[in-house]
Amino acid sequence: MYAMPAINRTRGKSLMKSGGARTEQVELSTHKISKVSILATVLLTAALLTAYFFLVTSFFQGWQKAKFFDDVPDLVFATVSITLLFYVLRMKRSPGDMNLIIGLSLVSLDKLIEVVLQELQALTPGESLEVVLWAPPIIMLGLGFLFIVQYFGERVK
Amino acid sequence: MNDILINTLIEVLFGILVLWKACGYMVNKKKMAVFLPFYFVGATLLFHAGLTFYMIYFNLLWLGLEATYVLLMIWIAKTLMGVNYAAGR
Repeated sequence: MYAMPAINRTRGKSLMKSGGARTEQVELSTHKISKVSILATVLLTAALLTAYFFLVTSFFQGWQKAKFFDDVPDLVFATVSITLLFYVLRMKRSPGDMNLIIGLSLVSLDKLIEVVLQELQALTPGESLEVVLWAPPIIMLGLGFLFIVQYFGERVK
Repeated sequence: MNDILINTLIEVLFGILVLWKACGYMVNKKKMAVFLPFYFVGATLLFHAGLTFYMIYFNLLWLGLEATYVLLMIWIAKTLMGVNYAAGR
């Protein structure tokens, strides 16, 4: 009797190994996040952050005199982390996800605050801002990464 | 100088904490690939602390450092997707 070939309903590859053999195909049915939606999220986030850049610089010296070398990397970093945050929010919930959400929020917020602080510092060239202003974003960045490591530590068996 | 020192100390503290946790998980869970980006995050935090301490504010160097952070975040995103896919089994 002719046997129908099994329909391959699985996509993607796992980074994890099980029992010494690499798991080639795994279920993705619980995670309906297509590449198109990720691209759309990246574009939307980038557009919003560009608007944020123009908004922030309008309160200081205008975008023509902005500190591009400091602001643009911060905004790119924020784009990546906010995209990842959207990705995580759209995933199916599992225990321990809150660590990742808090971590990514802290990291994103740090970069958004840093744009403002860089522009504030540009008003007084040659002088750095007070530690009261610089310390919270640095603590947020460090704590954010710690929360993300914690997530992976709990999740990975 | 005092402000710079406090900033550096905070960065060193978090750099060592991230490195400590990443190395601990690498050894205990025997999953080096998953925690390797965090090892580099910790190292980058320490490098950042060094630049802050010696007040090296050379734009291109700073740009490279931020680019490293972005690449590490993309690496973490890829790892997260891998872990997430594996959890769906």
